[in-house]
Amino acid sequence: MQGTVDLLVLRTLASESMHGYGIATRVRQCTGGDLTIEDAALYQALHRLERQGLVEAEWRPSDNNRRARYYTLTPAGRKRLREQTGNWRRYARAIQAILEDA
Amino acid sequence: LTRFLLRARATLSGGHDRDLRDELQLHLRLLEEEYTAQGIPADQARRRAHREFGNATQFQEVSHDLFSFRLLEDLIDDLRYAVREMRRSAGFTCVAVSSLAIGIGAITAAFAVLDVFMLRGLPVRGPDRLVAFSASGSSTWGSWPYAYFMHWRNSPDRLFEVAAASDVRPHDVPLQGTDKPGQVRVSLVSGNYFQVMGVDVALGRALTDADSPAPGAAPVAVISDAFWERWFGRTPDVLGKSIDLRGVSYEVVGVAQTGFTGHAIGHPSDVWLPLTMQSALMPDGARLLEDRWGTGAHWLRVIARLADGVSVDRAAVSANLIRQRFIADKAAALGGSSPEVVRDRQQGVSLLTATTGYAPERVRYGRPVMILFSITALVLLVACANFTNLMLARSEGRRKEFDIRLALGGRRSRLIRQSATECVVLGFAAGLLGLLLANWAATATLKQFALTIRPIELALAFDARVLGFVSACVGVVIGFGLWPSTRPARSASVASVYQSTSTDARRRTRSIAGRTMLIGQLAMCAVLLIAAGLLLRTVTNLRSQELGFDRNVLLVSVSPGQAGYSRDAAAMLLERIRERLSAVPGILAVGVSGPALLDSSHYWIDGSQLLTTDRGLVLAGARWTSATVGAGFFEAVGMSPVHGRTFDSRDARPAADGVVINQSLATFLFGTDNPIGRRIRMSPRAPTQPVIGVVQDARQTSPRDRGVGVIYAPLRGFNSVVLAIRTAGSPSDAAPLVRHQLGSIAADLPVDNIRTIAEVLDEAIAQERLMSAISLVLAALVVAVGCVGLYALIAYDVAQRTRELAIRLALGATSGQVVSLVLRDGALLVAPALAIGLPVGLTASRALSSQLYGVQPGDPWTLASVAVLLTIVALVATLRPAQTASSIDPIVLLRAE
Repeated sequence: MQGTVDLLVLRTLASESMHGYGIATRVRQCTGGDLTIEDAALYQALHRLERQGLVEAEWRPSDNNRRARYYTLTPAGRKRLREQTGNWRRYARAIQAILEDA
Repeated sequence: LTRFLLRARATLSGGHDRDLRDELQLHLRLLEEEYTAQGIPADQARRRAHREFGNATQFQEVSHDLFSFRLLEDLIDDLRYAVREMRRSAGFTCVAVSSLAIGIGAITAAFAVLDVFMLRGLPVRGPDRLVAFSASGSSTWGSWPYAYFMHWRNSPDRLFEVAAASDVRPHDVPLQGTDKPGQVRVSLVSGNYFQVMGVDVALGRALTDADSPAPGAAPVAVISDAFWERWFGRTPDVLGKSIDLRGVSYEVVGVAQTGFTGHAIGHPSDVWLPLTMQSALMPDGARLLEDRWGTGAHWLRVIARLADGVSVDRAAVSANLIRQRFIADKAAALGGSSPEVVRDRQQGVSLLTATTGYAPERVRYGRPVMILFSITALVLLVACANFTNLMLARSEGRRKEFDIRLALGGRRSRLIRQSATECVVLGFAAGLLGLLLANWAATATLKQFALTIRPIELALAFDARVLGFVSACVGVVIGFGLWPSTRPARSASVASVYQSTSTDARRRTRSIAGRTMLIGQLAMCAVLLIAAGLLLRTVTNLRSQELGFDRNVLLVSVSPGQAGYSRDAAAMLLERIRERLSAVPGILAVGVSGPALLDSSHYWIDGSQLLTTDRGLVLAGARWTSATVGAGFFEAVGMSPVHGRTFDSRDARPAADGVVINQSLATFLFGTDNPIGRRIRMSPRAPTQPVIGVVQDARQTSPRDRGVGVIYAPLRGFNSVVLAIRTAGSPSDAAPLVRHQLGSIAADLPVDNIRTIAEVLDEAIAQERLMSAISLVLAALVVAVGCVGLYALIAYDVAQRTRELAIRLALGATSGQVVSLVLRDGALLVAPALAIGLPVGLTASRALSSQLYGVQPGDPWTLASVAVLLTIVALVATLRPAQTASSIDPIVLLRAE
């Protein structure tokens, strides 16, 4: 679904900076494996967000001392996350309502 | 903006691609480790990691696009590719770029000269509102007496404001604080000159009307920026310094704005002085400001700035009214029948727009410059047509490559863009090279030009105007080259990849386009050759014509005045030289003359001068001039009297007043009557003089002036004279002897170079020689380019037809038949080219007619020789491919197939 990956990435980054692999792992863990992002799509999303100025990237040593590219949410990214979260909730509620009605 | 920066960084550094790779690798490695930890073998883990990841390459591409300028990168790729292609086919590049560079260089050089000489506006405020006063019917600025200027100036209706300026005259002045001689070029101007011209000062103040209170009362000067640099080294404390001219010290009060050197193009002023200093600056001359009725010298250029909203016509009406009122007053004062009033009444005033300033040389050299410009335009066109043909041949040669690339999924627009990039790169390279060439050519031409005209100083400027012009040329060139490069778009289909041999139809289309271009090119060659031929014949005619005097006579300029001889001492010295030289064996006769022969700058030919005879006023159509000659001149140069006698010792007496006239003038003034003893008057206030003899016409003033009347008067001043020496043997052998003899007679007498009349003639026609030389060189270049084009086309055709020709040979055609087949191909190109080129050249050469001498624009001989020449050249160009064709061995070819 359009924008879903973006939202997931933004949400995952909201608490701390992470590298791509970390994000993928976190998403998988949180959803208990129900939701996985294809890795190529994840990186595409990350780079798209970077270009839109919603996340920033920098090279940093990782936990086990490897050079990794860490992504951080920018203020604009936080704003976008709030909007998207709201949108998503409305959307989910709407779908929910329809599903329960039927 | 940040996006732009991100992209720019990514594009420039290429770091983005590396980052991308690193990031992906890390991810894959982490995945791999995870799988290994789960107990999967290493190689399986790697494969699985890759599979899990998805399409990495596509992701990389997409990400790359996100972070870079696809367009810019493509462009850089194209450029790189274009340069590589150009290097690979160095021959093609060389021919294309150099022929284009010649075309662009030639026309740019011509434009630079044209621009500085004729087109550029004066560097002043609002130059388009300036007008110059001229005699009606004249196309150049007039000169006027002070009285006229004052009347226009005091006009009551204020339609224009009038300023006046004298022509620039050089004065020899010792350099500031040294004895070294220097030259200061001075122009006298009215107080409002700077204000009317619209010129600011860089320093100090301009002259004002307050600077002209009374004659001689205001020794102040404004200097030009260039003079400030040259003379004062740009010191800021130049104000208050002084310049000494003719015993008067002029205080510098201002420096004119940079670039302004007066109203005259090619004759810059260093110093401007108030008009009221005229008599101080010219102490020997008349007091021109006191010339109340304008009967004296015409010495001022009158320039006006029109008031806002006033048209040139309206101002001209007003100027004429003012003038008529003045003439009425003048008639009342001098009498209505006085010659000046009669003449004044015949003339009116017209106002010429003065935007581009005053350049008297334009009358004579404007047309040659325009002609050269047109010729160079033709050269550029030929080079462009050649370029099109080259690009056409090239796109043809690469068709297969294009087809394959199309078949492999290359985008069409991308292919076109690639060819176009190549064409643009070639165009720009040619433009750059052309600019260098133009700089050199324009400088060299102007130098030659300046040698032929009296000193003229044109400041060539390769500025925005010229650069703009070059860019326009490059645009045209690229346009010509682009047309064939759009052809891959029309390239048929994948099918054509497989069709390697049946290219017949395609060859025909390419041939039609190429042939048309080539025919046009050859036709333009014909036009150029006709122009060059006519100019060449003009030079030959000028050189070989009957001059009226012997061209083997030696002319020696000597200046006793400069060596300190007084008038009488100089006269005695010259007499002694004549006697001593005549006695030298090998020297037959020695004569003395005033100004040099064949040098029009020493003569003033003007129908408006008031020549009168004892029969009355003669104004209409009398083109005449006067010359001064001393003893023995006519004999020495070989001019014999037709009637009466020439000058002898009787005419050396101061009281003697007889004159000799030439045949043209005698016929004009007296018809068939006997002119001897009749009296003429050279100006209304001059004494009448009897005609004592008539000599045959000679080209006294210039090699072109046929039928100009000449009045020869006895030489009275000897400051600077010309010795004419007739020798028995070869004149050039005698030159050292003459120099030696002169040295022994008067060692202190400076002797200039000794030249024969033939050499002087060559110098006098230097402009014509320059023109014909330039047009010949350009024509030769263009014909060479056309020749190469023709050769290439025919050779290409032969190569394409190898199979056909081989079959013909195999079926029994003789090699002669094959040769004639190919030659016919060439003839089919040359014939239409001549059919177009000759009539066009015939028409175009009419524009040349004012430059020609002794040959008509449509001269059949010239046309015929051009036709023959072009045919021969074409034949030579076709011959080699024809030979190749005839030497095809069908057996070898068929085996190869």
